[in-house]
Amino acid sequence: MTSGNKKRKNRRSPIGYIVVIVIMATLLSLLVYEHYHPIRKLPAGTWIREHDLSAVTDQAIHEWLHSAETGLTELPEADHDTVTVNVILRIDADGGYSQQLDTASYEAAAECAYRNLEKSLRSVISARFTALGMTDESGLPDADIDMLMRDAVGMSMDEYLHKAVPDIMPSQEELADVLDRSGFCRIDGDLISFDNDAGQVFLSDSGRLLIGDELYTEVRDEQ
Amino acid sequence: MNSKKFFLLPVIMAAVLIIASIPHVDARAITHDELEDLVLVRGDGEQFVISTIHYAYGNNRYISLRDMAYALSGTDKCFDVSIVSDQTDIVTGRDYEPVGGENTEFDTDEYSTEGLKINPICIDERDCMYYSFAGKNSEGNRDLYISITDLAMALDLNLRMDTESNRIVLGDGGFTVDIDDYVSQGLYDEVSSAIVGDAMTGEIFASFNPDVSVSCASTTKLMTYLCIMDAVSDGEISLSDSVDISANAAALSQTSDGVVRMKEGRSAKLNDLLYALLLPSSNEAALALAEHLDGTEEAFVERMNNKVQELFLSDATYFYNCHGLPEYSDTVAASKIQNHISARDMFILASHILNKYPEIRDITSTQKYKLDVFDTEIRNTNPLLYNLPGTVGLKTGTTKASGASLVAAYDITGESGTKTVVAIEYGAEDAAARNTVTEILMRYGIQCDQASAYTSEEDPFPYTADALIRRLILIKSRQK
Repeated sequence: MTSGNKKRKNRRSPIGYIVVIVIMATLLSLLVYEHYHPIRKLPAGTWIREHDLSAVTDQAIHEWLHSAETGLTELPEADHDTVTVNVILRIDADGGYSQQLDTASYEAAAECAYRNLEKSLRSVISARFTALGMTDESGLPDADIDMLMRDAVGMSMDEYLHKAVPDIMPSQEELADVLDRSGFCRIDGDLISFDNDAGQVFLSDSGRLLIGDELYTEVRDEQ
Repeated sequence: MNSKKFFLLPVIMAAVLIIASIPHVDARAITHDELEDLVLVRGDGEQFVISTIHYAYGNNRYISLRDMAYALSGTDKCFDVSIVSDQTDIVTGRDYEPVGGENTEFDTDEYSTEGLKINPICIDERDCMYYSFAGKNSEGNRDLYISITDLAMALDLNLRMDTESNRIVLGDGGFTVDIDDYVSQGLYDEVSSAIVGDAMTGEIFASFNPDVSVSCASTTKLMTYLCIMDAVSDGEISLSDSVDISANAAALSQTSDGVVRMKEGRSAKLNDLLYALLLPSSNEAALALAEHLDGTEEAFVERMNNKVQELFLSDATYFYNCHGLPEYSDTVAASKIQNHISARDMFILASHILNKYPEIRDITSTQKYKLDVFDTEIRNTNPLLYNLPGTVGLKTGTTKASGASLVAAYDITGESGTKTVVAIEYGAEDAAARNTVTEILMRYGIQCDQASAYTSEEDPFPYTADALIRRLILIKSRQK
């Protein structure tokens, strides 16, 4: 009877192999596909970017100083710092988003703009005094200008400029009108669109988000 | 035969002597059409006949001094005229004694004058430099024809030509300038550019083509002066330096462009050369100063152009030499190059000098100066110095290409200190036009400056950059 049993061997089904191969191939295909066509997720989180107001404030400075061109055939150049405000973008996992102007950064930007204006005004004052021969070619020292300001208007240059040029920047309300918005956003391929607009290419990578040509930095809550 | 020749000789000599003794007169026959009788209407309605010569262009009328003196008799603007030979003396506030021919229609087929020139005029014992025609009136008495505007300015008259009625109108009060009126009458028609303003604050009262680049001729010498004085301030040279006259300077003085004859190897005090530079506009003095400071004229001219940059002057300004004469260019065929500047740039330059070196007034307000080293006396060519008391400078300029130019400065002294008005004109067709246009501008500037709001620290808050800077300048100027 043993010889009959010895003749019976276990045969494995080929279907199992096929299933495993198919699954492996599918997974591999998905990996390849994912590599070349990655599945995008909404960049949920809080993001912040800088909105450059330098051109706007430089224009305001130029217009205010224009009246002082008497006696000068060209305005002397002064080194200006970049004037920026922060814009905060929040994106929820379900696609809701809100964007708004960071009011704290607005105050800082305004002070930067006034510092730029002060630099330019001091430069023009010095140039006018030099052109009139009331000082030598090295110009009028800042300390002398400060003393003349006290005598002329009873305040510092900074205080004077805040009073004389109150609108060196667009108002907070005007900027908020332009920058503040909220609604829903969605992903379509590699485009992100806000409130059904045309969509912009976006990239996100380790704490940075690029939407169109605007670069956001992720704001991580400190724990 | 010999005796005939012997008698011929003295006859020839006598003829030569007779011809030589006839005074040379630059005679210009004025035709009857140009000699016109106009009616002058006084403020009280009285009318008088005034002989006039209608000269050259526009409403440029030259009016009889005797007729005017007659018409103003008995008024608060009366003046007496005495004309003896070439000399005319005017005394204001005194009634005129008629000599015959005044207030008479002068009807003649041919009338001659001695041409438009500076005939010596003395007003209240002050020598003046006005252009006029010297002629005779209907009774053959010597008379002087002076422009309506010049006479109005000289005697402080509210006098003008009414072109609609073709009458001369004498109003109440003194001479004032309505600049818009003058401009509409063609004030700037005969000039290339002009500007008038306050040298202290930089305020501009009026301008015409202020940024156009024009040949600056001898007004160049103001930049020469500045470069020399800056070098004195920096200790590079001294006003008491002895300046050697080079071969170049001596040669220049011997040419038709020479003003003060100088000999090579002689020495002159630097300060004396500044007088020669600014009074009669000595080109050789400019060259001598340039060479004394920088060795060569080329090096000095580089200094001048560097100064242009330091003062923020525009591209309209560039110098090729230290004196302003035109010179031939090797680079452009058959042409001359000239120093050039804009009226606005010259305003900046002149203001700079007046504020930085107020002592320039000591030189430019001098009418005559003795240059002992060159055994000559030099005279100031600035007409406003003689015609407008209070004028303190600065410089004339004339070349064929650039026309007649003038940079003038006038000090106004008041309770709040001294202000200085600068009036500049470039490119007038002739010296007569230059003198009149610049004096009108200067008088307008004086009117504006006296009415200027920038007189007190109690003025309203200066919201504009310009208002602030003017306030600062005013305060700084009072600290001097």
